[in-house]
Amino acid sequence: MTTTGGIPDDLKDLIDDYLAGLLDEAGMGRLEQRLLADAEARRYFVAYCRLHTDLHLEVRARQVGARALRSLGEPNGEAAAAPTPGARYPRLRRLLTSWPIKLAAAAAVLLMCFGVAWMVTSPAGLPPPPRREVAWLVNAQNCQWEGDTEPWGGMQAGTVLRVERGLAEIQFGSGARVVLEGPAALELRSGNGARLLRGKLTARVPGPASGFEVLSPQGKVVDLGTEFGISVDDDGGTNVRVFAGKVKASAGDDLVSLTENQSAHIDNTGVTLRPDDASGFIRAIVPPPVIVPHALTLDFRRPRPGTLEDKGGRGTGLTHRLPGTGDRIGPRDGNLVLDPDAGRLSLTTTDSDINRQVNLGAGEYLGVRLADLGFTGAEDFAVSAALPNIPALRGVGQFGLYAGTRGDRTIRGGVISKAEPGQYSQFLVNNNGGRDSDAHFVGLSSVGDDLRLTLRRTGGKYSLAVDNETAGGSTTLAIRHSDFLDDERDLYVGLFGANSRGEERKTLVIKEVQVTVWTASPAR
Amino acid sequence: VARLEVCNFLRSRGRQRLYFSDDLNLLLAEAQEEVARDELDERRDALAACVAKLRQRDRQLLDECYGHEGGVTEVAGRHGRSPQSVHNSLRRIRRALFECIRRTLDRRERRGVIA
Repeated sequence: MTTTGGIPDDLKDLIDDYLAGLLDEAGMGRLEQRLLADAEARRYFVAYCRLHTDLHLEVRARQVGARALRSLGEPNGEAAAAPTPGARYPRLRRLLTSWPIKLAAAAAVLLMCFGVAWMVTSPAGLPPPPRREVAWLVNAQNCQWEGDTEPWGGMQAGTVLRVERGLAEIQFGSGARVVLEGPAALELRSGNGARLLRGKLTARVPGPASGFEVLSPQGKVVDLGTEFGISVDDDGGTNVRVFAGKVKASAGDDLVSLTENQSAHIDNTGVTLRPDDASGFIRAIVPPPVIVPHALTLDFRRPRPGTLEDKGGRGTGLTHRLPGTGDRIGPRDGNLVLDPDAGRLSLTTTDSDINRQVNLGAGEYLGVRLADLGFTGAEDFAVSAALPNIPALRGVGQFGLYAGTRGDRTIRGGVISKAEPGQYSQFLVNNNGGRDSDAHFVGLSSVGDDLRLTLRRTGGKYSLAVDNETAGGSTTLAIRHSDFLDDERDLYVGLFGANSRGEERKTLVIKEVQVTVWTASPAR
Repeated sequence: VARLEVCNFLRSRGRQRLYFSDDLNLLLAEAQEEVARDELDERRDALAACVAKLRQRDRQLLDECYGHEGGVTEVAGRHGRSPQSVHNSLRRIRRALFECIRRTLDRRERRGVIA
């Protein structure tokens, strides 16, 4: 469903300017903020971009169709008086009306992707020479192109695609579709033929495109309405494998028909049937999985039954303690007070220290189990907490966030009190086996500051961000990556507060805790 | 997001200097997934019908701007107009088409053509 109601005109203008390539950095920033803030605006943006893409396809398909008709019907200048294309060329008409739609399905994905302003950003110049586009790049995955051969949009006969790695899908004017697997080089010869110079491809050829022809250094494969794979060895030898239908493989006068599940080798001695071998051909570009965030946000505005309870028996929303910690704390945690009216959770610190495993039975390391948010071991995740008006801890008093499997296997970070009264350093540290290692200290926070801490695992690497909302600064810390948590499937994340090696307990106020796991699900 | 890979591919082309953040791209990809449930063919059909209703000169402008790689600047030069004026025309035409497609799909939906 398309919805446009409620989209302000100034936002529509921004989006039009974006498509026109007229936005400067400030404009992009404004557009980004508007889109981030409004789901309806994002839907409008996506639908509007699709229109932009569809317009390209619609107009270009019509032009290609008109050119094809002219090339068939105009040798004597008769086209102007010709009857409708469908009446004179029913097969061509079917072709012209079917392939652009199929092309659109894939190309829309490609072109939708937020960078489609080429047509309005080209520099002024002479009108381009007449182009006869024979094929289109419609999909690409992890492609690295050799030199300046990166294709764009429609491609003319004679174009050589050189892909060093990745997969590229090319739609020919006839409707034939080829998946080229790098490293490979493919010369486009016509709307229904190509020459594979090296590497591998698979071709799917719908009935109307029957006759699709792939030349190789040693021979030729002509399709008779089918799906097949072809690869060219370093010495020019060619392997053919038929997945469905029938092809003719030839070298000079030597011609062999191959049918489903047959393979052959072509070299300078001719065509030889080979034991069937389907291995090594990629027949379709499978979209990478969709990454979906699963988030838990606790604003502490209501008790959540069935979760860790505060001293009054109110569920805090936090569901688990870090295993190996808090064993001596009762079911109603006297150190916790949930205040739904104020939307906050208070945590009074205890004297514990993960470094050297001091008094962890009384330690407050509260959080959630990531598996409950879909974590299976490989996903990225983040935990964040807002801590206003931080109190003064002494000794090596510290509070912050952790990720780990148990009390002696964690990565934790936050702020730790300095020798100077009322001041903190920000830190991030590995602890594998009970002792801190690889600690990184940076920055300065003061008693009374409002902090937002975020511990992230991105691409498998951990970092801690400290946003000091009082001072207006932001710090991100990373440490040497230690792999001891990499293969763990059962991780816990959360927050902690400890007046380590100090008698004086303090109370932290926690305004919000958010945990997000970015899970992958198969693309639709 | 299937498309993110493709997006990254497009980014690497350097055709558009400025990009959205990854956070926004993720949200846009989600929005795209949502919209993608609509029938692509229905939209294309509606678009074709709506384009056919345009005035001849608007259709011609679309053909020139969307069908060639010369871009708006070249089209403007050919017609003795300023690029901004052509951009404004395109904006008007696109919005009219967008509204026309929306009305067309809504009508079909009311008639039960779209499940």
